[in-house]
Amino acid sequence: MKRFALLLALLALCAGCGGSKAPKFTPQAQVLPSLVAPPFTLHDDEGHAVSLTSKPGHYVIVTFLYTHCPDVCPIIAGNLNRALKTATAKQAGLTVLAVSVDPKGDTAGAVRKYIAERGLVSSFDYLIGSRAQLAPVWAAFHIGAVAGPEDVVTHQSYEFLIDPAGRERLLYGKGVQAGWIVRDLKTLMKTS
Amino acid sequence: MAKAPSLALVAGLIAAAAITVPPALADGDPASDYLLSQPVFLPIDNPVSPNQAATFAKLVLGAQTSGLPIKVAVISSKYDLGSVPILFGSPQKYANFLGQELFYYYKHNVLIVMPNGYGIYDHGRSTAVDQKVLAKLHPAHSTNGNVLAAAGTRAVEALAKHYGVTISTKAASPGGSSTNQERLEIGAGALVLLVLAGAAALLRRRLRSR
Repeated sequence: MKRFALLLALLALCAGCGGSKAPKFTPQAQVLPSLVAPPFTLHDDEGHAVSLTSKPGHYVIVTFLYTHCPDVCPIIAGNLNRALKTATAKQAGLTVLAVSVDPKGDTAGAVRKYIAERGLVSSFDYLIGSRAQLAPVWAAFHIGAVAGPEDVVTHQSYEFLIDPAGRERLLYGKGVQAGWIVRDLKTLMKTS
Repeated sequence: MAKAPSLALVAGLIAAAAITVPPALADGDPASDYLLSQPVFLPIDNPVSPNQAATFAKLVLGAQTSGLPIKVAVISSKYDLGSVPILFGSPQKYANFLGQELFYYYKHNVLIVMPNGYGIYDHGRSTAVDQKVLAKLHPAHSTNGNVLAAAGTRAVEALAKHYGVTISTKAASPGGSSTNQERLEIGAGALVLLVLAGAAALLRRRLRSR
């Protein structure tokens, strides 16, 4: 009996090693070390200045896209837009800040057309600028963007979930799903 | 009696689920996916001989365990760069690109070997000194995989020498894990599995004795 109890205790200890008190996020999310996200200010297609600090008390997702992207960007944008439409996202005050990785192709007109064609909601901000304005933001988030032939830009497809205190909490890849974000937002709101 | 095997099965499944699988980045260049879990990426269409590939991987793993944490991508052609062929011939630019891709998953040196030279990225830290060390080496001047792997060997050894690291390849295994942290994680996983298996066996014995 004693041995059995000892084994059960060890088992419980091992369960504790996994951080039973730590919030359980979707397995696809990479938990970041909660550092303050790099501050930046860019402009949307209407010329309004938008920054991380202009969203106090709200959850923010920062991602990197370009309007002429032939592969993953439209899927990512669609999934983030889907997340924004959920009740959980509205409760969290979630905003998406999509930073352009294509200063040449992402003109205000191209972005307006993209937003209209894809039905992006008003809490989806598509931020543009010159290379000199955008490149420091890419660098701050460790996003490589390489312009290739035929207007294709190869770039990292990450989404950073930032909490209301401005800290980077979770990182998703190009396969991000609205359901993951909703689930993780619920967990964050419950545990924060 | 019939419940015991299912307990062991559950224990195994729990332990298996505890193992973290690195996500696929798949941003167009194959090296980024390889280096998530492997110490080296070797050319696809100019293959390195199996013996040399194993020796090179062992050296890189040895460097990692000896105090020079590093991963290496050997690039022989535009094909090895996937969707960023434009970076062929620019090893430092590709080092910066690849290093940033891996930034949130790997925190140490990423060395690039191309026919015309070397590039290095160290988790956003300055690599000016490392670049000077690498600049003193002769580039491979070849797209042959074996020649490039030999250049990679020289580069790793030069960096190790510069930092006073003696590379021991005794404990290194090309098929094994690449960092101490990974070893700790595997060790912890094995411990959990052992405890779960022990608990299952003891429970089975208790059920039998009833």
